[in-house]
Amino acid sequence: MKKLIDIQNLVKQFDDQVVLNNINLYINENEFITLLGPSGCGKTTLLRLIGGFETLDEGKILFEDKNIADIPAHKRPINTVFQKYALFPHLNVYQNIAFGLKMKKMPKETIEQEVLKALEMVKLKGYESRNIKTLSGGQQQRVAIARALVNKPKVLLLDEPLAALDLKLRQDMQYELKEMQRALGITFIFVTHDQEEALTMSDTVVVMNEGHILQIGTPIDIYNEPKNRFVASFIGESNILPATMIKDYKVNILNTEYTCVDHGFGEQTPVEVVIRPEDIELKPAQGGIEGLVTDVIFKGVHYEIIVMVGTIEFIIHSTLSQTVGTQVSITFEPEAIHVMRR
Amino acid sequence: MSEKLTLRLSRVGTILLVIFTYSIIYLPIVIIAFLSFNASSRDQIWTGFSFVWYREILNNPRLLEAIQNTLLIAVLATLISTVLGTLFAIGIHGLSRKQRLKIMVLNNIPVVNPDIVTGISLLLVFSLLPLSFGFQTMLLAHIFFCIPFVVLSVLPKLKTLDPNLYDAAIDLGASRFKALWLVIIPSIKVGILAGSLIAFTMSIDDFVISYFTFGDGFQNVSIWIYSRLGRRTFSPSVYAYNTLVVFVTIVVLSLFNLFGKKQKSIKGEKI
Amino acid sequence: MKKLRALSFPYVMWMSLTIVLPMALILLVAFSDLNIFRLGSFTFTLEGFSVLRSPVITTAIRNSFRFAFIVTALCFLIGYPVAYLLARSTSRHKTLFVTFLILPVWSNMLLRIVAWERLFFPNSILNMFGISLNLIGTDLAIIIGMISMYLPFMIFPIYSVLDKMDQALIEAAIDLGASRVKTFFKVTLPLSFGGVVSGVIMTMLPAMTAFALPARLSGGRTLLIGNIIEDYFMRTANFNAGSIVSLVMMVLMIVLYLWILRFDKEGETLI
Repeated sequence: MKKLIDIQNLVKQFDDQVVLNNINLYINENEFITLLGPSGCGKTTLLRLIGGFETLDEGKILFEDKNIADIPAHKRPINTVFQKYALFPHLNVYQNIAFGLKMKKMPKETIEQEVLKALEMVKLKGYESRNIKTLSGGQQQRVAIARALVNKPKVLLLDEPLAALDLKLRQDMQYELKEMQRALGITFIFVTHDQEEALTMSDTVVVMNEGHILQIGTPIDIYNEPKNRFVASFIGESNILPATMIKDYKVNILNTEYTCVDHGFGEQTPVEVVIRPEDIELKPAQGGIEGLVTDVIFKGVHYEIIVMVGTIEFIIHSTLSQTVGTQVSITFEPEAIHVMRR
Repeated sequence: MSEKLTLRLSRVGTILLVIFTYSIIYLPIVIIAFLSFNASSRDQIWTGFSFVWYREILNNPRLLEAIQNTLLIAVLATLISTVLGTLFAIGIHGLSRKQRLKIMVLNNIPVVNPDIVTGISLLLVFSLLPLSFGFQTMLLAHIFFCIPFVVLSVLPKLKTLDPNLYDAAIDLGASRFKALWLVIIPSIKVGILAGSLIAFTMSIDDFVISYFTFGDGFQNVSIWIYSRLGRRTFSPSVYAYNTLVVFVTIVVLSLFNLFGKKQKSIKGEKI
Repeated sequence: MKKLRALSFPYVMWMSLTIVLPMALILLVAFSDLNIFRLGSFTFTLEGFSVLRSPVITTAIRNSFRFAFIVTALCFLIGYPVAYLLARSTSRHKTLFVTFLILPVWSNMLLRIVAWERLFFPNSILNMFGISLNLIGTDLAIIIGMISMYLPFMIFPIYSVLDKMDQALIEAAIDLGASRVKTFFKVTLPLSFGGVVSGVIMTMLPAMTAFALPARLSGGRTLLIGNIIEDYFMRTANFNAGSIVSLVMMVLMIVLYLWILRFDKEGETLI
């Protein structure tokens, strides 16, 4: 794969407040990359820097090995789908989509062909002369996507584009966006605070918090091997426990010694371990970590079971129910233990 | 011409226009202030700095009366039009969109209508009614043109309210009056305040509509000025009065501005 | 809140009395020989309309349109860039700048006219600096005076539309490859058209109907429609002829108002 965008030592401040601190990140051609993090983590600012709507304070952004600092936003081969779509209310669907091509002074016939193709792609054929205000949220979303894609950008920036849609529509659009990205071979940079969305759609997920990049990896990496407590708790529900690494492949969790697959932490090092709720199996009390079932909630596909071990709360996802008040043992495989530095 | 040059030129041009705008708007006010400190009673010559015209306000009974009348009408018209305008706006908000738009067409006529047309309209209506021209006709006229401004500033605030707010208050046992007074009014108070401020401003500055509805020796400051323009009874004391009003306004608005800024910086954070 | 709609009913009655009735009255008085002070039998007649052929009145109408057009055009050319700069300003004192545009309204309009008059006289306070403007009676005097009075009315509606405009729309245009200049003409300007229409009307109608301003600044030499209307209603008490002339203004007002309604159904750009 070829590097398309390379961000080096980027720093951005607003009124002396550092919102992006020493960001290093590269983005490949034809990649679906997601910037994931809570609101205020700097992900939207990073996207706006790439789009050219903000200027950076330190570092540089290379686009195909060229510094893009001097290229104004309207000349970058990058288009954006804005958060609330930013469709022009004084133009109809056709005119909105044709806007970018008109700016490039394309011939009228080409514009018409391209716009119709784009409309077909987003399944809005026949909506050409509709007023923007008469469209539903989902339809406006599609127009916004068509308006950006019709310009055949090398990179499409999407700023929480699905946030305003309801659940069902959101899931449909996730699938469709992924399909479009595959079919068109364009790099998508997607910003969201929804971890599920990030995991479902992306090739690469970038987890951010407070202006820093915490982890970059495939969705599977991020989910199974979070680098620290923040990533672990932000990506899905998890049990995060204090533990001690005795030596390589041996970890002490709540006074019980376990074999694990992690190594290289040194000896007798305090660490934290993550165990995903679905990786825990409950057995009748038999020693090891024992606790009391305090709550059982039916969640449709599985039961969510809360077990209290002393003051520590375990969340377990299981297809088997338990009776509240029973004493159980908490068991898991060595592969289920993920050790992180404290 | 390159785009950068065009942008720079247009920026310089715009800044010149801003300077021009504030100058042409403020020049007459500065001149009035200047003349209010002039020791001479003739506006053509500067004979020295003096507060004599400020003292003269108290010694000119007709002017003093006109000032009192102006303030009396402004305060009464503001109070009455704020109360009525707020209630009307709440009523209009409850209507269907179609009916609301129809009422708003009527509501906005006095806002758009040239003052002189409003003036003669009221002159005609008041001539039909058993009203003698004077305090009451001028007050009614001022209430008339203030209400639409109150409605216009209250209505947008009502639109931002949760539609269930009133019902929630009723549900919790509030009477209809209490639901209005304790829930609706406090949530739209910014709009009510803005509306009353506009009403007061419109009333205190009005000349044309007052001119067509005054009578029976009841004068406000504008009528006092108009009837004395170019005559010996015109006294520079009125410059002093005007300068005082402008001074108080500057102080009040600047304080408002400083006070309002604190609230903004809190919600202004967005990354 | 739907239950509160009854609060709007008295307003409809009030407006019928103060807006609809007078319009009907002006029509009636214009098309008949009715004497409003001595109600009795009357006959419909179009005879009164011959006043519109008198050269004094045709000149006044022509003057009104001419000054209104020149002043509105100049106010737009000055006011739009100023409103744009204010709306785009990121200064912490932005609201203060805007507030200071409203402030002059607190200064009496007649006195501001007087201040210009005093400056334009050959013998003025400016003689101190060796300057004598001597503009009284010129068109320029009226134009400067009108711009000084009405420029804020042009700036405000445009400013409020530009200030509320979604910044993302500008960014979207740039994102799609439009330069700053193109973004302005393709997106910003068309989207602010509603504010421009309100601004144009809020400037044009007062300019067209002014009477105190042209009377003072032309030394009584230049008559506008307002002067004719004032004369008929306040001096010669010829309501029938006055109504006929007012009718011209009313029709124009209604046409312009319908134009505003196309962009702004609820009058949100009016304050």
